[in-house]
Amino acid sequence: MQAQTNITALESLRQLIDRLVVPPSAITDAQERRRASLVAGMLLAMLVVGLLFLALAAARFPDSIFDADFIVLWVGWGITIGIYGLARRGYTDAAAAAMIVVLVIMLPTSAAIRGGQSTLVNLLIFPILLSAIFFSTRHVLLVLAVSLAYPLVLSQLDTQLRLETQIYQLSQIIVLGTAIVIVYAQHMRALEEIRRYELQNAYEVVRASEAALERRVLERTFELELAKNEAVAARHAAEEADRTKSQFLASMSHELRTPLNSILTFSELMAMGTFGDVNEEQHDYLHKMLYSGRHLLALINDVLDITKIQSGMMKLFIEEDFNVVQEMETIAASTQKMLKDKPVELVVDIDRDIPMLRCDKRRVRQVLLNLLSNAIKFTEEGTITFSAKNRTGEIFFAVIDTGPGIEMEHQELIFEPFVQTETGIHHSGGTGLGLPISKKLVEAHQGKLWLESAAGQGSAFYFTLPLQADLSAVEVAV
Amino acid sequence: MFNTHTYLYVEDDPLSREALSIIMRRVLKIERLYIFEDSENFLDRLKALPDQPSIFLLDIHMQPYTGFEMLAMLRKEPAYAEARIVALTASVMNEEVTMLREHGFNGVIAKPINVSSFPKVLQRLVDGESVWHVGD
Repeated sequence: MQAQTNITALESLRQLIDRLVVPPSAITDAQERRRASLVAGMLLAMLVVGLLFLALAAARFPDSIFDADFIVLWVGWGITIGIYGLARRGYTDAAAAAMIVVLVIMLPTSAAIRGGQSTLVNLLIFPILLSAIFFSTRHVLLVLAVSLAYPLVLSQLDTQLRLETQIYQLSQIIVLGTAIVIVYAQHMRALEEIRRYELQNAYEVVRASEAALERRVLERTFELELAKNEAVAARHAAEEADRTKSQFLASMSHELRTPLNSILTFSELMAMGTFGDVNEEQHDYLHKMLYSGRHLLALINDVLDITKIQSGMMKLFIEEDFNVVQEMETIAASTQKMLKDKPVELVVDIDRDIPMLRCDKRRVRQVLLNLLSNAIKFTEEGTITFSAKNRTGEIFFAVIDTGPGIEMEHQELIFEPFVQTETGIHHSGGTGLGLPISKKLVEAHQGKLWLESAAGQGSAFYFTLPLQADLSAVEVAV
Repeated sequence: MFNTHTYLYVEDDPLSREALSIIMRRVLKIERLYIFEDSENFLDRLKALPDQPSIFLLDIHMQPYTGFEMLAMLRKEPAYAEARIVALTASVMNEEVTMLREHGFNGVIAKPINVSSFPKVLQRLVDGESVWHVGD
C-alpha cells in the first residue's frame, strides 16, 4: 500500500512537471518543442534552486535579507519568473538569452555588493552552459568573455569585491568548464548533424525507391497496355477469321445448290409431262435423275452442316411452338412411300399431353427424320416404333427397329463423322454424317442422344430434349 | 386463283430463271409474270411495267442492288406497301433467315425450288400469309 502511494505520488509529480514545461501547441516542429521544454525546464530548475538558495541564505543570515546584495538576487529571481513565462509562451531563444544576461549581470553584481569572497561568481558556469545549449560557439565565447570581464571590471571599481585569488580560481573553473561545455556542445551538434545527414539520406533513399517504383509501375502499365492491345488484335483477327469462314460457308452453300436447282426442277417438270408426254422408260430414268439429284442435295446439306458444326459456326434458331404430336405425325406420314414395299409396320406412339417444345424446329425435324429414315432403311421386316413420352422436365423420344442391330465395336463409330461401318455403306449409300449431325444438334439443345443395340437384336435410338433449356433465342454455338 | 395477281421475279442465274418461269407459266398457268435479269434501274423499270406486281420473288444475291436493297426501295413506296415480297436464295442459314425477317420480307423460299411444294407456298402467299418454312 505504501509503495503504491509512493508511486502515484511520483506519477503525479511527474505529471505536474510535464504540465509546467509543456511547450505551447503553436510550436509544431519536434526539435523546437524539445528546445522549448528544455529551456522551460532549466528555468523552472533555476527558479526552484534559486528559491532554495535564497531560503537557506535567509535562514543563515536573517538580518541581511534586506541588504542590497540580497535584493539584487531577489530581483533576479523575480525576473526569472518573467523569463519562465516568456519561455512557456514559446519564445525559446529570447528566454535563454534573457536568462543568460540576467545571470551574467546579477551574479557578479550581487557578489560585488556583498564583498569578500563570494561563491556566486562560480555560478557563472550556468550562463555559459545555457549559451552552449541554445546558441552557437560564438555566443559561448562572448558570454565567457563577459563573465570574465565583468567581475574584473567590478573588482577594479570601488566595490567590496575581492577577486585576486578568486579570479585565478574563477578563470580556471570557467575556462575548464567552458572548454568541456564547448566540446560537448560541438559533439552534440556534430551528432545532430550526423543524424540530420542520415535522415536526409534515408529520405533520399525513400525518394529514390519511390521513383524506381513509379518507373516500374509505368513500365508494367505499358507492358499491360501492349498485352491488351495484342489481345484485342488477336480477338479481332479471330473474329475476322470467323467472318471469313462464315462468308465462305454461305457462298459455298449458294454455289453448290444453284446448279442443283435447275437439275432437280427440270427433271421433275419433264417427268410431270410439262414439255410433252414421256414414255415409261423416260419417266423411269428421269426419276432416277431426280433421286440422284435429291441425294446429292442431301449430301451437300450434310457436308455443309458438319462443316458448320466443326468450325463452331452452328447456330440454332429457337422458336417456342414446336408441336411434337403434329410434327412427328407429319414426318411419319412423309415416310409412307419408303415403307410401301416392305413388310414393316410403323407404330407411332406419342403422348397426347406433350407441351409445346422450345427448340430449333427445323433441326429437331431433321433429327427425327434422320433417325426414322435410318430405321426404315435398315429394317427389312418387323416393326418400327416412333415414340415420344412426356417426362418431368424433358421429352423422351425413341426410334426402335427390328433390323440387324449394331455390333458393340461399331456403336461408338457410328457417331463419328466420315466413318461408315460396312453394314452402313451397304444399306444407306449415305454420307455417314446423319447421326453425328443429329447427336450434335441434340446436344446443342442440351439434350442427349444414345443408342441401345446388339447384333441381331435390332436398334433403339433414344434422345431427350429438355423443356426449359437455357437457350438464347438465336445463338447457341456448338 | 394465281392469275388474280401480277408477279415480278428477279434472278440473275439463267437456268434458275428458266426453271421457275416454266413452273409458274406452264404448270401454274400464270399469265402476268415479269422477269428481271438484274437489278439495274430497278425502281424505274418496275414502274414502267404495264401491270404492277403484287407479289415479288427476289433473289438475294443480285447486282447492282441486292435483294435487301430492292426490298428497302419497295417498302419506301406506298404503292407496294401491301405487296408480298419473298426472298429466294440457295444459301439459307439461320442467321440469314432472322435477318430476312428483321428487314421486312414476307418470307423466304429456298433454292433448289421444290416443284411439288412450290404451288402450295405460292398459294399461301397469294392468301396473304408469310412463308418461312425452309428446306426439305
